[in-house]
Order: sequence, then C-alpha cells, then structure tokens
Amino acid sequence: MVSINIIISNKKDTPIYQQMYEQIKNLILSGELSSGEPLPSIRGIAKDLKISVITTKRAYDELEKDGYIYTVQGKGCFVADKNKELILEENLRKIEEHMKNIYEIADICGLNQQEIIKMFILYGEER
Amino acid sequence: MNAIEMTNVNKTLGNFSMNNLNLVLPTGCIMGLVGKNGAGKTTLIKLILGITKADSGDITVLGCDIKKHFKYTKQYIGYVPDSGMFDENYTLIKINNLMGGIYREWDEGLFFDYAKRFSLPLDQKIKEFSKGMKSKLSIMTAICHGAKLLIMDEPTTGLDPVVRDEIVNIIFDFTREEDCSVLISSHIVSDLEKLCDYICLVDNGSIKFTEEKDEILEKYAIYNCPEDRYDSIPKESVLSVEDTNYGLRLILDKGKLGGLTLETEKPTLEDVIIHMIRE
Repeated sequence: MVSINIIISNKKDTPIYQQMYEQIKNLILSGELSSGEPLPSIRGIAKDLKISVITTKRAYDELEKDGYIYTVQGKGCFVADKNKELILEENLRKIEEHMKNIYEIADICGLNQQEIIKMFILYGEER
Repeated sequence: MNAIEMTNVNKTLGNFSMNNLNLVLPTGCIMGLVGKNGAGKTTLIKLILGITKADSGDITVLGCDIKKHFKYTKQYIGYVPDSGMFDENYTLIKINNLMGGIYREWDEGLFFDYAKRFSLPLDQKIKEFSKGMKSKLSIMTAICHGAKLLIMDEPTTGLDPVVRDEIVNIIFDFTREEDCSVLISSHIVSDLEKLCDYICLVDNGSIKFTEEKDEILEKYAIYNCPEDRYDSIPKESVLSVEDTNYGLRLILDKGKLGGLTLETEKPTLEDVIIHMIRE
C-alpha cells in the first residue's frame, strides 16, 4: 500500500472533506501519486486519520466525480490516467485566482488596467 | 442494510414517555447519543436491546425484527452497560469459561490478547480492578463474542483522559471491519466528536435530530462580535448570544447569513450541543 502524507486539521474553517480532496488532488497533480496507483481504502484511511467514514467517502466521491480517481468494484480506488486538459484547466483556474487578487489590490490603491499591464510586462522582461 | 432501524416507536413509563422515535444507524457507522440526564438515552438503548418492550412501532436490529428470532441476533450484539456486568468475585479466567459457554463464537485467543494488551491480570478478582480496567474488560468482552454491533452506555464516564483515548482507539479498530457498527451514549462530547459519524440528540423523550457530525460542525460557526456590529447581523442566523462583557460571542447558522462574510471560528461539537439542549 502506498504511504502518502495527508494532514487533516479539525481547527481549520475549511471542511474536512475539502482538506482531504485538495491534498489528494495535489498529490496526483504533482505526480507523487502516479496513475494506476491504488489509494488507501476509505475505511482504512478514515480510521487512521480518525475522521468520519462518511466524510472520507465524500472526498473520494468528489475526486472520482472530477476524474482524478476511479473505483474498481471490490478492489478499491485507483489514481486515474492524468488528463492533460484537466491539469491545464486546474492551472488556468489558479492563474485566474491570482489575477482576481491583483485587481483587488489595484483597486485599493487606485491603479488602472494600463498601469497593471505595464507592470506585468516589465516583470516578465526582468524575470 | 442498516444496523439499527426504529420506526414510530412509542413507550410510556409512568409519567415519562418516549414519543415517535425514528432512528437509522447505517451499517459500518458510529453513532453518538447525546442529551441531558433523564432525557431518555438509556431507555432508547433498552428499547433497542429489547430489555424494555415498546408500546408501539417497529425496531429492527442487524436486519432482524426484535419481536422475532431476537435470541439468535443477540449473539451479535455487544452491550456495554454503564455499570459493570460481572460478579465482582470473578476473575478473567472464570469470565472466559463462562462466556465460552454462552456464546457460540466466543474468541478465547482474542480475549487473552486484549487482556495482555491492556495488562489486565488473569487471576485477580474484578473487585480489585480500577474503574478503567473494568471498563476495558466490559468492552473487550463485548467484542470477543463476535459482535457486529456494539451498544455502549456511557463507557468513558469517570475515566481519565489516557484510558478514554485507549477506549476511543478500541472502537476505531472495531469499526475497521465494514460490517461493524457502534451506538454509544456519552456526556463527554469531545469523545464523541473524535469518534462518531452521526450524532443523535435526545431531549425530553424524543429525538430532536440525527445528523452527520461533520455536517453539524460545518453548518454552524462562532463569531466574536463587537457590540456595535451586532445590528448588522441577520437575526435569523443567530442561534445564541453570550455576553462576555467585552463583546458578544455568537453561534451562527452559516447558511442564513445572506452572503455576509465574517471572520468566524469553527465551533466544537460541545458548543453546538450545549446550545441545542439549552434552547
């Protein structure tokens, strides 16, 4: 069985299933879990991490729904083949989020779009 | 299949009555029973075990109607009462012999394994055991006769944190098997928060709600509110207000905030339950 790092915090405001979903997803996207690799059983991982079976199942269901893992009846869950489009989509989403932050900060200090674009190009040249 | 199913169960005991009880515990899950003293938790457990007969309604345990063939099904129910269940003069060796005679699937090897793991002496009388040792004995006995359903009435009350944690771990290990379920009542809500998949709140003879534990914790939030901000919070979202003299401590229903974002904290199960019972 694979040994992976998953850290669940009860204190965080993020729901537990989401913490689990994000961490497994990142392990798959970063390649630490490669396609075809078996994931720990729902019941096993729930009891080891001392979290609810229902919550764990919810995280796995979401991962399956989004195409990161698949289930073989009676055998458990496995990492799905990496879908290039899926990864691109995920990264585009991340970039969009950063852009949103940029605009929010720009609004606060009254920078307009032109100035932001100028800064961005400059940054790209210096990099 | 469900481990426990109660449908429209009613029971009157003198001037106390339990009304319209509906409860479902899915197989493989752990359910915690909470409620004030005298709310009816023990009566509920006794109804499920068939110790107290219901006036009306249906109860099915491990797929078996408790009015029919229940004797057979009882082999697979492990009951841990709040007080010890053995004669105080017995030793572990005597209990092993006794249980071997009663239960077809008594697992002697497992029993002695547990005794070793919990360092329980085999030839010492139970009356010389500490409270923690007695509790562990009750639970391991229940597990060793091949139980598929553990029903526990306050197994962790009066025990120190280390023993309580050991007991929590025994229960986790027990439910690693997919067909093993647990119903546990406790006043120590933090133990239930660690353990349970579902929480069932019993109040004044009826079941107030049965909900998924994580859902309860996600639904509510604590907000430390400066007094002048209180008016801006939608009143329908406020479940309770506590005045700390230096501001207000609110328990909020996140779903009813109407898009308002606040810097909230995650509540503990205890915060929510205390509020619900006090109401």
